[in-house]
Amino acid sequence: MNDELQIKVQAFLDGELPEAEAREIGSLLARDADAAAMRAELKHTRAALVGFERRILVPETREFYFSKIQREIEREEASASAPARPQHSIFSFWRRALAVTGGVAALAVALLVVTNFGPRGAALEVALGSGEAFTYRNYESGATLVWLSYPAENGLAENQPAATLQ
Amino acid sequence: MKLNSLLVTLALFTAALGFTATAPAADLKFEAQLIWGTSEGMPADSKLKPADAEVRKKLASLPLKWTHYYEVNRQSLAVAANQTKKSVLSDRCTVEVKRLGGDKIEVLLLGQGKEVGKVTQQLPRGEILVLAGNAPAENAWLVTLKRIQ
Repeated sequence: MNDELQIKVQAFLDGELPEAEAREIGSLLARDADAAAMRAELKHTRAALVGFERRILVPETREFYFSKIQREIEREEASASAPARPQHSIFSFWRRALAVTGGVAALAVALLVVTNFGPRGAALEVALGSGEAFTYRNYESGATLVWLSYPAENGLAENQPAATLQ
Repeated sequence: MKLNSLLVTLALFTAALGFTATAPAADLKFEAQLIWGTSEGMPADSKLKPADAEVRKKLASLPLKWTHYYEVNRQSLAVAANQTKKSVLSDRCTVEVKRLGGDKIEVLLLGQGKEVGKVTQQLPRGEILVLAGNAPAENAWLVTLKRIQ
């Protein structure tokens, strides 16, 4: 099955195809075993991921929320276009020196944190015999998932436990 | 006298350094499990037991939909540096673990004798690698590899 057809099967599942094309793909799914297997795989994957998309709720109306963003952009643009005032304070030298020292210290701390507490086990390479895979890593729990599109009918653990244990 | 002490100290330090360099690296220990995932209950006559709590907790942190995980088989592996160890988890499922240096390992999953996938990653102590796929009737098979030591 080519890539274009795979995308169409996915669009068919998502209900995004025009009526004529949807009929065509529906007919293909009825007669083509590969296409039907692809649809089943996509359905399984989608079902497996259901419930893991977090909704973020903002405690304001949509209009008010975006108006705040708009106001903030306008405020930043206004302050950027305003002429910079020269500073003649006697503390200006110390302020500059402290800013430089603080920057260096922050860099050192960041380097220390990355070196000692940074994500471990991040380098992940996957090679497949056939089919496709997606990976997911939860750094907090230290768990990595590699989901393989290995045909269900060849399942490594069957739903008949007795057969699996043999 | 001072020179003698210095020489003795230097000799001991050199010997210790040499011993450290030539001492064999400790084995890495893993636990491989074949797990069956389902959202339905287990038949009453099943002999499978629920997967252990730690593994279930790790699985719960991953985007998987199943609510029950049952242990089909569990094997321990101790892998020496630059060595490969094989673990047969069922007549269909075998996993091979190869050490590549440090915490880095290569995990080869075989299904009915054929390569299903090969994963290379660092697996520090306490972390878990899960290879999984669909099983019939909307269930799942999972092969977990947990680094014990």
